[in-house]
Amino acid sequence: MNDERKFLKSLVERPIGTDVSELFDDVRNNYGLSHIVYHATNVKGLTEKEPYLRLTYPDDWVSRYFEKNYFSLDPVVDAGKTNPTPFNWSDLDWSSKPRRNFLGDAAEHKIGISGMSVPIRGVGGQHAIFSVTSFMSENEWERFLRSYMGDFQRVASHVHNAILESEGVGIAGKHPSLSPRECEVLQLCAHGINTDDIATELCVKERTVRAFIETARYKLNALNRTHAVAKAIGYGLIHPPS
Amino acid sequence: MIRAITAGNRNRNAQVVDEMFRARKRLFKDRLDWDVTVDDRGWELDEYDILNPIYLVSLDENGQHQGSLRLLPTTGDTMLRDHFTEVFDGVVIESPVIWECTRFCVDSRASENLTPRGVQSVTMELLLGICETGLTAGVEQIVGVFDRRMIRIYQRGGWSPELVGENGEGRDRVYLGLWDVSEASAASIRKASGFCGSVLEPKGVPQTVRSDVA
Repeated sequence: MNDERKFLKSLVERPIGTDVSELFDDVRNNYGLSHIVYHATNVKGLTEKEPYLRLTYPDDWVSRYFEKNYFSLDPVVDAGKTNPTPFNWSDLDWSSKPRRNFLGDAAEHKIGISGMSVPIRGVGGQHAIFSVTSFMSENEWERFLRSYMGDFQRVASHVHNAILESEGVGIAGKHPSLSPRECEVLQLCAHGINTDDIATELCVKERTVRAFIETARYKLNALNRTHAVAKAIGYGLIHPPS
Repeated sequence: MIRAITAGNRNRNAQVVDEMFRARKRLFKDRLDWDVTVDDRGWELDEYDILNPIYLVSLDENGQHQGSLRLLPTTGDTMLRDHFTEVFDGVVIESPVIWECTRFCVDSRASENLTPRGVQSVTMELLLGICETGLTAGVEQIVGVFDRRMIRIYQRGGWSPELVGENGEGRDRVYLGLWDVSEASAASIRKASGFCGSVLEPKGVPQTVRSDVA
């Protein structure tokens, strides 16, 4: 088992029913991050009047951000709207003086010295941005992102769907449904059968099995395979292993 | 060289974008006769082009468009979800680590240079571009729909998809494939194509301090 799975695993073992702030704290602790920002920019039922934000920033930084109108300067929001791929904040254009001052101010408020955003896309043009900050040096940060980008993609969409659920919008309250193939694959996972053997059993290829597990995991808003199996059992979609 | 174009840098790449949509029209409308829409600029455009996708564009040494494709995460609106679910027995692939590749287009005016294995270099550069982009974005698989003529190209290119579904008869038969995004895939494509190192355009050095003056 590689490190990534270990990290996600500890997140999965969170007690069920914890709220979004606790989820944020768990993510910060697991990955050694300073702060987390979830920003829904276009979610029907949530962002009609104003953008929806959930964040771990200290209050004094939040009020300073609004007071100084940093919204109009901050290049992260624009980049997150226009680009579907995750981006390191150091790749954005910070060359103007007001932006450099903004960065300095953020560091002084202990927000972090590096950051990264994962844009989130949902059905019906849904759009949100999940961002994290840290005090890792630029080199460390780049290495860290290379290792954990897959994790962050999963965590970002998990947070997004958890927030929609807690706010009662979008897919909220809808009992997840899986295709017969996804159920079959998860059922075999529940019996502890590995991907290769599932492929043999179902006469498909290994990559297809992984895609079905991944899709089922996403539909169940689980963080990894074990989590998906547990949730599928909870919803009565598959049988518990005997 | 592969340039990634998004809504963020699209204005700076207006000419390349124009060439891309015209090349798509030449391929998908004129040559393959697909049921696609062409606007009054002569661009082939669809509803996924307004979702702020990322385009990978292969540019020649003069900065001219040689080929391109479009990538979107499968958590959002995709062609697979909207148009191909029925075609492929209700299979819907959706995950933040599986992305959809559509509008894979090699420009009819592109260089006809072939790799030793007989695949057009532009095609190989685009394939490697997908794999490299996926690796930095935390993407683990690519999903796409293609026709029979592409199967051998992918095989010779060192990056064969696994078939998840197929439907239709004869020339109209279409396939749903999954590609693995991994360092091993990138190495295999490099070996098959002779490309060494990355094909992605290096990230721009942040612009100079000119905006201070403004």
